[in-house]
Amino acid sequence: MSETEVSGSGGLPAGRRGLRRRARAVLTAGALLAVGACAAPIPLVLDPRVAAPPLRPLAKGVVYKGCAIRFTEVIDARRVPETLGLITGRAVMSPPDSVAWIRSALPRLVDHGFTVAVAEEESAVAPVFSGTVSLQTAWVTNVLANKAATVVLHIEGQVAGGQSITRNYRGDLTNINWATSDNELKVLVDRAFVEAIDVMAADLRRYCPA
Amino acid sequence: MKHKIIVGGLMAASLALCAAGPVIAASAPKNVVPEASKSVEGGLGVQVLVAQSEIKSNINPSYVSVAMAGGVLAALIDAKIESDRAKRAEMEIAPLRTALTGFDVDGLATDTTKATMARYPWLSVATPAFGRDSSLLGKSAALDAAATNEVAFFEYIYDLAPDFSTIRVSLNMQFANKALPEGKKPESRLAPRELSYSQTVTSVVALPRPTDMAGNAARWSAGDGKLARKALSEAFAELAILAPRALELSAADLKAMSGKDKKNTSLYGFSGRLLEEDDTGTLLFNAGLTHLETLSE
Repeated sequence: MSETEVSGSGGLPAGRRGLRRRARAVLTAGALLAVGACAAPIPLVLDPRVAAPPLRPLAKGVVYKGCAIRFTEVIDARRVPETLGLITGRAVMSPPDSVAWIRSALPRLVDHGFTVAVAEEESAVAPVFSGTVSLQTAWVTNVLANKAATVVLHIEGQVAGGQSITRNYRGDLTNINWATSDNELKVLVDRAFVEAIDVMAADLRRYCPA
Repeated sequence: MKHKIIVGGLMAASLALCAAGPVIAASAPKNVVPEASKSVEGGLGVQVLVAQSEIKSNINPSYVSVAMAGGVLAALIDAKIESDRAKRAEMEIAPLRTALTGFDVDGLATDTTKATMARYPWLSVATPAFGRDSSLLGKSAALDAAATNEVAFFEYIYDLAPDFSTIRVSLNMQFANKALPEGKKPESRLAPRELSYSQTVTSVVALPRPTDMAGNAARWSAGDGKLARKALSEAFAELAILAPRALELSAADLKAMSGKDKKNTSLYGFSGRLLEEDDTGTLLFNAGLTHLETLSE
């Protein structure tokens, strides 16, 4: 069929007809998206485990000998542990066992070269930090058409030498909210979580033996 | 690829429109407490909602698509500009959020609500429930769980102006009935037309002699967020005054407030009819009540 051929029904050149068809499809898709997006969105329940992206090659595999951390207790200290917040009207909820969720992020410290013992687990060497870790804040929001997540981890305990410390480690992430999809939101929260752990690792590393 | 960009742009645009929805809905003329709500058996149950754990940042929208009369490319440019602005705002606000660690804004919201509840026998005497899920489904679930036939939602938002020159706290009060309209979805009970009451009061506290975003952020954050803590406390205290005022407004009051004899005024990015102006601040009527003041250092 040539470009100038006319159809039996529409009377438009095929090229223009194709364009019109495409435009109609795009408009329909847009309308459906708008309607779909405006319907009360189903809350997202986050996965029970925090998924950590791999560390950069230089950092990966580095082991700090004798650099152990012992968390005596993992605590969810949030006022409302069930809800992280809303992104464009869609609620983001914690997994049912939020303590296990926090705990699932701690192996990230192993990626940084630490050995980690939690609760009843025994530490092979004297830990450079021993104390509690608590999730102080985990929340999501949107900034116009962007989504943002913040995670704050709090540690309280003693470092090698007996000095008492309390620290807050913050992980933040902001990016464009394309579709408020499950995967987008999960990755957002996971990355903020991991960033908080990475900041913790960088801070605690200075207590490790040289 | 092109198709993906178009669909992505449409999705982002749709979400932006949806995000604007509640703002439009807030102006629905249901801002006089109906007599029926004052005679609910056991009083209205009260739910405090603060859907944030820290102070929110804010950005100015980009209007490239408006200037270019629309188009996918313009929408993508807007998305990029807004993304950069959001990232910067989130970065600049981090020290303030750290400085406000331990400052109990949720407690301020609860106390403000309790102060309002104490004034009206038609609001339940029970301790208000507290939650973060202010989504339609979340509120609908709260309605189902309520012991009373009508629930008053006290929903708070606190944030910074895009240039960080002001701290704003708004309270949206919505009264919703537990009874489900026939043939409707449960969340339809929260639709503006189904609410028996909806009104917003806002308190804006400005930094004296503000500069740019970074400079303002530094001043709010200094001394463990001393000024920000003071501003938030003052803003919530003002809401405790504004909320009862709003709840007591009659249709005649609302008409008088929007009368043409009241001067149109703009201050700190808010516009409305000037109601009052004195040493303590300025009160505007813009469908709701907005109080604006400058913080004393």
